[in-house]
Amino acid sequence: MSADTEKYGYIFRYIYAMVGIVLLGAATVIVALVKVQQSDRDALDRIAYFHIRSTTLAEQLRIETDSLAGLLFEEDRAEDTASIAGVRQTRPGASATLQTMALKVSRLADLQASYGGAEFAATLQRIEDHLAAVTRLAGGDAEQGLVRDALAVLELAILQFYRQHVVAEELLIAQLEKTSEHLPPLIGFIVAILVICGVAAWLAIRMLKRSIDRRMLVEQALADSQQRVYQMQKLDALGLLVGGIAHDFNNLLTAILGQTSLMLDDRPEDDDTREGLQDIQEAATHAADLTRQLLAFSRPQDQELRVLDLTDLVNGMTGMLRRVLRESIELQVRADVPVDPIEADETQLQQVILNLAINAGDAMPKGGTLTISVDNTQVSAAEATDAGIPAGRFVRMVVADTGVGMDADTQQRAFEPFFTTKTRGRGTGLGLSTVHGIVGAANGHISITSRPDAGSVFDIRIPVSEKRIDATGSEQRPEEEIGGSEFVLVVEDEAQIRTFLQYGLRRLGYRVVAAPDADAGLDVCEKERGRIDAIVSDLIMPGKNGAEFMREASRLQPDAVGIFISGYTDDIIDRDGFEDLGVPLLRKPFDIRELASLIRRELAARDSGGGRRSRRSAGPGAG
Amino acid sequence: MRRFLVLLLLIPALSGCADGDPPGAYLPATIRLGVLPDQSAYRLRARYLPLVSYLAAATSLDVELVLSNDYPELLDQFAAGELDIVNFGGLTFTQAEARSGADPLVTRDTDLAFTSCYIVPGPDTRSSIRDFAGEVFAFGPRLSTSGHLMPRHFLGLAGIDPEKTFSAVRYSNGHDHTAAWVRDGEVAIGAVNCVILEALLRDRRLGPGEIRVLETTPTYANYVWAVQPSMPEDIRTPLRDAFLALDATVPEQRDLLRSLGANGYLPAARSDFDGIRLAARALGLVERADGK
Repeated sequence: MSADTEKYGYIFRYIYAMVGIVLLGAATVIVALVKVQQSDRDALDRIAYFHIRSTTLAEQLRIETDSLAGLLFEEDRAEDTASIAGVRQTRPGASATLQTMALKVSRLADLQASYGGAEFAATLQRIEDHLAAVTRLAGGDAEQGLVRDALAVLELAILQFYRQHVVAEELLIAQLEKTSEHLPPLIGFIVAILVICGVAAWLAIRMLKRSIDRRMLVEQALADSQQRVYQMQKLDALGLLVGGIAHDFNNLLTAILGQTSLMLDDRPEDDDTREGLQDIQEAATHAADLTRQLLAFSRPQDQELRVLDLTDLVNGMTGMLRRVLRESIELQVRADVPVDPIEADETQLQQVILNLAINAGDAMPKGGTLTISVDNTQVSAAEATDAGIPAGRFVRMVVADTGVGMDADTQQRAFEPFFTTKTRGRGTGLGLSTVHGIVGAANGHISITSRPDAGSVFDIRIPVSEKRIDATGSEQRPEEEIGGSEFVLVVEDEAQIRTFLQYGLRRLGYRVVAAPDADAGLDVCEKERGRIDAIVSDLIMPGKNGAEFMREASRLQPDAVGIFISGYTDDIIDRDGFEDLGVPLLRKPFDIRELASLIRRELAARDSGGGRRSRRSAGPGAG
Repeated sequence: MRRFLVLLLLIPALSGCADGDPPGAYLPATIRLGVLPDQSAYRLRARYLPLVSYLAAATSLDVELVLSNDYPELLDQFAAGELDIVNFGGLTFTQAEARSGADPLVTRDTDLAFTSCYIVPGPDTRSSIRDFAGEVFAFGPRLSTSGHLMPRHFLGLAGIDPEKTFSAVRYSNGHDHTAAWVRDGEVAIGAVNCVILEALLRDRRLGPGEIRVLETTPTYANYVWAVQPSMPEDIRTPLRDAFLALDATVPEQRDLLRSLGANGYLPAARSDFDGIRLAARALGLVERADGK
């Protein structure tokens, strides 16, 4: 999952980068706003100072104007008083006040010039003009009324100037308050937006993560499914390959085993060569066993299907399993719940259980517990999609051990033929592939759950059968008579097998004529019309195949019984091609006795008036 | 994310818009001057047309006198932008300020020192307004700044609730009526505009000793020339300077000033009307639409 997270990591890195950029941008905007406000405040402070200085000077001018009025109009009285009392006035004279006022007006002008107070220029000019007029009138012989008027307009101009600054200062304060009022809400707004964006980003990331998690689960499921399909395709391909090879082996082994058997029959008990022939026979038998296992994997349809109860089967094997497993392994069988019937080959299912038990035993070298449980289960449509199996009712058998377990790679390859983790000579690598083939043939499914050192669990599901369980089991055949003197026609394209059949049947007393192909066989039928009792034919031959041959031969020899032999697997044999003939099929390799036994049974059936039986697979070689 | 960034960039721009001038720059072809319709149209024209001529000459702007039929129409015209500069009374200014953000421009020197007088009959010797508790009190018209609004405001500041202190509160049709009621003993005490009272005494419409001023209110601003808030500085400043430049020492301007009842004009500040604004709000005559 971490690798997958890394796969989508670029999305998160992109989001984090965007969030970072937004935060940086917002921080820059806030800092810029604060700086602008600070700069505004500095400028406003400077202007405020200008107004305060101006109003202060204007206020002083107003006081001096009052003082000047006093001096100008009371000085006359004072001079009169002085002249009467002979005392000279000591307070500053009007001209000195006028000079002071002129100085202040000059300072005001400088102040205006430094601060660019153009809007106050007209008023200041009036102050200068009126001050000059007052100075001129006060220094001359002007009427007192004119001086008073001039002083009044001067006073008004000073008041105008003063109030102009008061008004300007008032506006400035309002502006300052406005700026102060606006910034915090603006910053608050930005912060609020950031918080909202942050929450939204957090939610988006959460949703994205969930979405990615879901996507990764789907991708994982898809990958698993693809892996399963690939695995199945690989196993199918292997099955086809193995089936083909097994056929050739079967032909060879039929000849080897047959000839060896005949040679052994011919040798007296004390013959020196018997031991060597017995070794050949043993090796060939072992090879035949291996080939059968291969065929079980590759030829799963080739089985004797029967409706059965899996709990009965498992419970019936308990004793045998205990003998197979070492004493250090505890066997727990939980097959006491009634389950639905299934349709499968009983012998093959036994092999499945045995193989799994043997594997489990090998997986628990220091002992442990092997649990086999059987129950009913239902696979829903959703589960079916996830697990890659069809939906429906199944009987489930779980075989669990507490052994060394498997890693993922081993699990993937577990069902491959010849794949084994066992030491050389201990395993063939066919056990689990056989299990897989058998379960598949029963339309079932097998899965492994395992971890190293945590045991393995094999979960086998076989679909429930709608048929009823057969009351009868497999028939136990009594000891049979296999020899005879009947006339048998053998049609086989493989010379070695043909020779073996011819020789083997003759040894059992039969009169045998052999033909290498269908046309030669038909010639014999024509020539020996009405005299042939049994026809043994290979199913797959060059030219006419066995079915075509048997169809024509039955017309020429209507009383003869027919037997097909074949080393091919069912998926190659076209059953529909000979199903209607009701001719039994004997699988290679087989012992000559098996063939003779089958001939006898068929002849016995003919003689008892049953005619040709329904076609079925026959003999242990077909198992 | 992209939208968010755009929004972020827009914030300063939007805040800039909020602080700046409203869209649609103010550019009147003619300055339309309005006045309080407190006299007949004839008298108003006689009084203000010389000012219109002066302003036009001083500012080089076209100035036009627009008369209103009544106070509400004046306020409506100003709110609709049909008037650029108006001579408001104290109360009407606070109303125009609340309604359409009127900016005070200039005021007469005399306007800043308005007072109202609490008058009693001449022979009455009581010395305090509180001495008249339980008697009948008379204000001028309800919407009069000097006859009702400000006298009531200052009574309130002194802790006197007229309705609770006096046996009855009556409203006259004018300052002269209030003075007559007091003189004739119809009410024990009344509030009038001090300037009008002076005029009544000067015109002998009140005889000497018939009325006595018991107390005078603190000064307050009353009339003001106010302009549209959207008026640009290059129009506002010449107009203000023209008013401020009126010089009583210049003969023709002296006559103009005299007809306007002023010695000269002073820049008006919004704070000059703090008291009247407070009083108007207390009486519910002004909404707090401006948020102040």
